[in-house]
Amino acid sequence: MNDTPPPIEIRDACVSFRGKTVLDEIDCEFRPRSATAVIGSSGSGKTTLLRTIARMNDGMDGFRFRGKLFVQGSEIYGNGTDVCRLRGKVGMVFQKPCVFPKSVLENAVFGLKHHQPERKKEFPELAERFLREAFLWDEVKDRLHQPAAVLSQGQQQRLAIARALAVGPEIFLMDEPTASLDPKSTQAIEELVRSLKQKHCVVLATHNLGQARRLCEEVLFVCEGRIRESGPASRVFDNPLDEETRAYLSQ
Amino acid sequence: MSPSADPQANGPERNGRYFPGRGPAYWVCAGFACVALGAAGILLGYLVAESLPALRSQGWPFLLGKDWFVGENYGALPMIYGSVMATALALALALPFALGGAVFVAEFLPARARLIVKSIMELLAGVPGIVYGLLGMSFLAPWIKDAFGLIDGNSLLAAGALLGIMVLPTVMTLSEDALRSVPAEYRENALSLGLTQTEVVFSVAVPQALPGIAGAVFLGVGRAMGETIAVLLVIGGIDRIPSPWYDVFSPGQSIPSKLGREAAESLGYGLHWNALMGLGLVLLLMTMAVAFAGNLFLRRARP
Repeated sequence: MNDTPPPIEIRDACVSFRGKTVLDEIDCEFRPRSATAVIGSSGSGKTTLLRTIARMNDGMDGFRFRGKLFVQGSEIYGNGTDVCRLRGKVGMVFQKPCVFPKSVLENAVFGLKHHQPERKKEFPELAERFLREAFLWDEVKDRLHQPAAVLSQGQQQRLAIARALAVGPEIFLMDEPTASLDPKSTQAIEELVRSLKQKHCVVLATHNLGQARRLCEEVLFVCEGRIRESGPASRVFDNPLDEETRAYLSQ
Repeated sequence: MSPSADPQANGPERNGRYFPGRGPAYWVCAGFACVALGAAGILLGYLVAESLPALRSQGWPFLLGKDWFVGENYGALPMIYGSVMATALALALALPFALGGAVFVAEFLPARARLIVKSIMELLAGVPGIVYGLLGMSFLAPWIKDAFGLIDGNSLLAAGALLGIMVLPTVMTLSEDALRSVPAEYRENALSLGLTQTEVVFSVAVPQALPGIAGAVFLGVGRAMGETIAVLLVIGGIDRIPSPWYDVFSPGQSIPSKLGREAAESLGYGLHWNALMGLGLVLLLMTMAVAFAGNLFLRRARP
């Protein structure tokens, strides 16, 4: 019998902002070393769900969470949760690529610099390692000291992923990471997600159903803040049980 | 039609660079820009022309001389010293509060409280210098006199402290604006990497806002250097450099306070008037040097 808790487990969760419920009756869990697609139309609550798992909504005006949310067996909305440590375990990649106005190298080790400043001498090797893991090394190895802003959008997104990887997360939350990218960059990111899910639990919010089908083993369909259907990707895509899911997938 | 086929619509092209078409908007804006530049040029030219007789008759001692006796010597050094010292004191006293306050308001206060604090700061930034001067005369100078056991509280310290109070709201509110203008995505990305709120502020928000903060500080320096009436009321009005030079409890004189005191007496002509114009020229050059140094600093600070 395997006693290892799932990377993420959400039980009867409700999220509201200034009294307005955005997510309700959320009950699900995510498996280790696999990718789960969170699909649903705009405003359905996909981003809120991902942000809630990383406690990125804490500073938002009027944010309230009710229910239980466990990350690797620990309840993260309980008292005494070290939010910074949690975010070290739960990496997040946002829709819009964002690099800091620093060099490529400094961006890659930005998180490390704060978590492990004593390893400063190893930063160049570590940067190379994570840039390689993000399939970016070959493209940037000759311009590590140039401003990261000169990279293409796709490269910036992979640099953001390398930066998140460097912190050593076990869970990756990706919020429409290819929404603003061209097909070539999208392909590169998809390749990266395939590699990431070998070792990490990846949660991918996406509008691109083809991408969800290509990359993910599990699918979660969110509609108006509730999970309408979840299960293995092949089953949900080929034989949706819920009327709403069927209507969304047929669009 | 290809873009280059209609040069009238797309503007001329020179050496591969595109130049916008010169329509009415171009000429109207260029006219206004010329008026602004011309006004600055005329001001500088007028000050140089008016101060030339004093500069010729005094030579270098005008800048380096310590004595100012109307009809005899015109040495500007005590006033230059007074302006620099009062401004430096103002910055030393105000910057920690202004910058700390700006970071607190921008990064840690809830939106509603932030708006209230900001409105108060903006209100204070608009209070006329004379009001601050009267408050300085009534409360600050007597307090300094009692606190430090001085014969007279009107001193360089009183002028510096009063200027500090005056520039604090301006520097704070503009620095806060600069911090708020840092895109939220930088903060979000840094937070998602597990940085603490304080690390996010000092590793991401402040470095990004640095040009704006520096601009706020230089504006504060400009206001402190040019402030006349408030300084005139509390600086003591003595044209000398104290001994030792860092004795900020001594009375002094700044360039604007000197001009404020004597411009009306000089009747607009004669060597005294020319010497005062020379002081004005020195003040203008000092503020220009501050602006230049600020630009240089910002160019180097930008990544």
